[in-house]
Amino acid sequence: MKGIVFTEFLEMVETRFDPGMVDRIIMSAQVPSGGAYTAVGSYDHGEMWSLAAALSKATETPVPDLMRAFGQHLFGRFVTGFPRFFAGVGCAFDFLENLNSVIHVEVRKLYPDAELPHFEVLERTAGRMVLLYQSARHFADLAEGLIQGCAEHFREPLAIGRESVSAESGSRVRFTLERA
Amino acid sequence: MSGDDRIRNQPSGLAAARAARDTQAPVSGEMEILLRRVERERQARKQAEQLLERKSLELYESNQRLQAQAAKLEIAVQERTRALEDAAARMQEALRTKGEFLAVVSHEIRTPMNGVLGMAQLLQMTDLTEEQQRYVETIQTSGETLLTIINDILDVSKLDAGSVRLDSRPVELRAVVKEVVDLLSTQAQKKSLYLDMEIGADVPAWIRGDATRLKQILTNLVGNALKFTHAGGVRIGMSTLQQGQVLQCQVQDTGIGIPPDKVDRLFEKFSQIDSSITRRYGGTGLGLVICKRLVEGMGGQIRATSKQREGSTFTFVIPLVPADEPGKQAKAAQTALKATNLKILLVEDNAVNQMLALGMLQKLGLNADLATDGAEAAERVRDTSYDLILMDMQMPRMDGLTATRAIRSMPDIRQPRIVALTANAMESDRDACLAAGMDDFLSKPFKAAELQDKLVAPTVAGKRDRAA
Repeated sequence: MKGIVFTEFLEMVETRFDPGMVDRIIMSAQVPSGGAYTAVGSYDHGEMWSLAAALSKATETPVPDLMRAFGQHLFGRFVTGFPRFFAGVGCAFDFLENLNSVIHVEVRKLYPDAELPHFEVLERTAGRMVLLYQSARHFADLAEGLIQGCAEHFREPLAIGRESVSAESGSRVRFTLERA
Repeated sequence: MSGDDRIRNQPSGLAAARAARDTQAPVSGEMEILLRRVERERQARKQAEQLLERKSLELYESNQRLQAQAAKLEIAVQERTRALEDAAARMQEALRTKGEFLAVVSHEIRTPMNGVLGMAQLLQMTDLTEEQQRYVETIQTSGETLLTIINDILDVSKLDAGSVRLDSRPVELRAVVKEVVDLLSTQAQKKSLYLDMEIGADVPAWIRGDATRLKQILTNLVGNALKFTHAGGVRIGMSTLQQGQVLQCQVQDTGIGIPPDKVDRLFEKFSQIDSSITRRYGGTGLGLVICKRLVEGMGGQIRATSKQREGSTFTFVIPLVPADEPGKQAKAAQTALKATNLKILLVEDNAVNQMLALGMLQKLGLNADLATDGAEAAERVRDTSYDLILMDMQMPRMDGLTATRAIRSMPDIRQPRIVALTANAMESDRDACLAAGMDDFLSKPFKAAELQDKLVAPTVAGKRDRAA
């Protein structure tokens, strides 16, 4: 998993709570990297689970809620950090549809080893979009948070429905997005 | 007061925190957190630096690979270019060799043909029985056919080599067409075919162009048309297009026609539509190739349309530039000069050719002195004032070009007119003649009429036309 996900996660914890919380969860998660993350590095995705579990314990909040909140935060950070991916994109559905073909292509140019989730548009009408999320990791909650962040960015209230699809390995989740 | 504020309020922040830890003094919880954080940041920075270094190295290496690849490509391009240049040079050399070979062969064939045709011509002027007369005529027509074939091959090779230069002189169009009709009317009459010409009133009397080549194109097209027509006849039509800027010539026949799939191949080399045609009608199939090249050389286009068993139409268009009629006195002056008794020196080593030229001059009522090589000619010119020298090119002791240069460098003599008798029809040889100081040239084998034309210099008007 790319380092930027970890640095942004810790930033969020520091902003929403305090630097002490960051230190606490790192100490309790006992992650192999020691919590020293750089945005351009790559780290075992298991460390993210350990950190999330530690935060969940410390804040008594379920992990899925934390991951969704982090997804929303992360999307906002992407908007600030990579404005060129948003230039000329008119709506949330357009952005989501371009994810694989435009943005992930660019990411792979810089990080050939990046493990990126795959978003497949199964259905799209003016008011509805069905997306199939496929990933070797189980970050469907994070993905849902990102979709929420996307909807907020484009100021398009979306009702997000979610259902698991059986997968041999990793996870497959079908998101149904409906414009309010 | 918050933890952060307290840290900032300490004397020297981090250094003091470290000092406190090192001295085992009790440190506050915030301080511990800060120190761990600093340590994590430091680790992260080191990682980032290592990553950066690795990426830089990768970038450098891939850049090196790209440069090596570019250099390799550059070398490959250079090698390929050299190979292509070599191939082109070899091709040029092969073409030049082919051209030289053709020139040599044509020379070798034309020289004896000169003898054959010339003797036949002289023979015809003697008292012959009707039977003998027929034989001589056959010798002449066969020889002329052979000469036409040689000329066609030479023309194609010259056109291939790009060594044909087209004249741009005043041409009397109607006269050219009439000459073609006169030349071929016997052939038409023999087959009971009509041969008409129809020249539009809009076609100017005089245009700028190459009369010889125009005549050659028309003779070819009309000759072909007559050859493949057995009933009806051939019509030559001329008109102008595009407000008189384009001349359109059409040769229309009522002959056997050409299959549609063969029409396009007509103008390709050696493409008589099938070999049975060659057997039945003869010819090299080069005529239309020559026509196409000549028309294109004039900046025009040629095409054919045909319906089988109904006839064919060959149409060519060339840019039309009207010309003024050249000075009218020219011909009269020439005729007047012809009557004068010219003092002529024939320079020729070959006995047959000597006999031939002297015989022809005699028929024209003229005598000539004889020199058998260039050196002898130069000697004679010192003693005798000649009006005209007919100069062979290749002779023992001193050739024609050297002799001409020698004569032209004599300051004290009245300079004669020098006409080259060349068996070589290549234009480069003609240029060499003119460069050596000759006035004109006559290709062997020549006819009495051609010799007569060359006896006197063209008039001033004629010369001005040529310079224009």
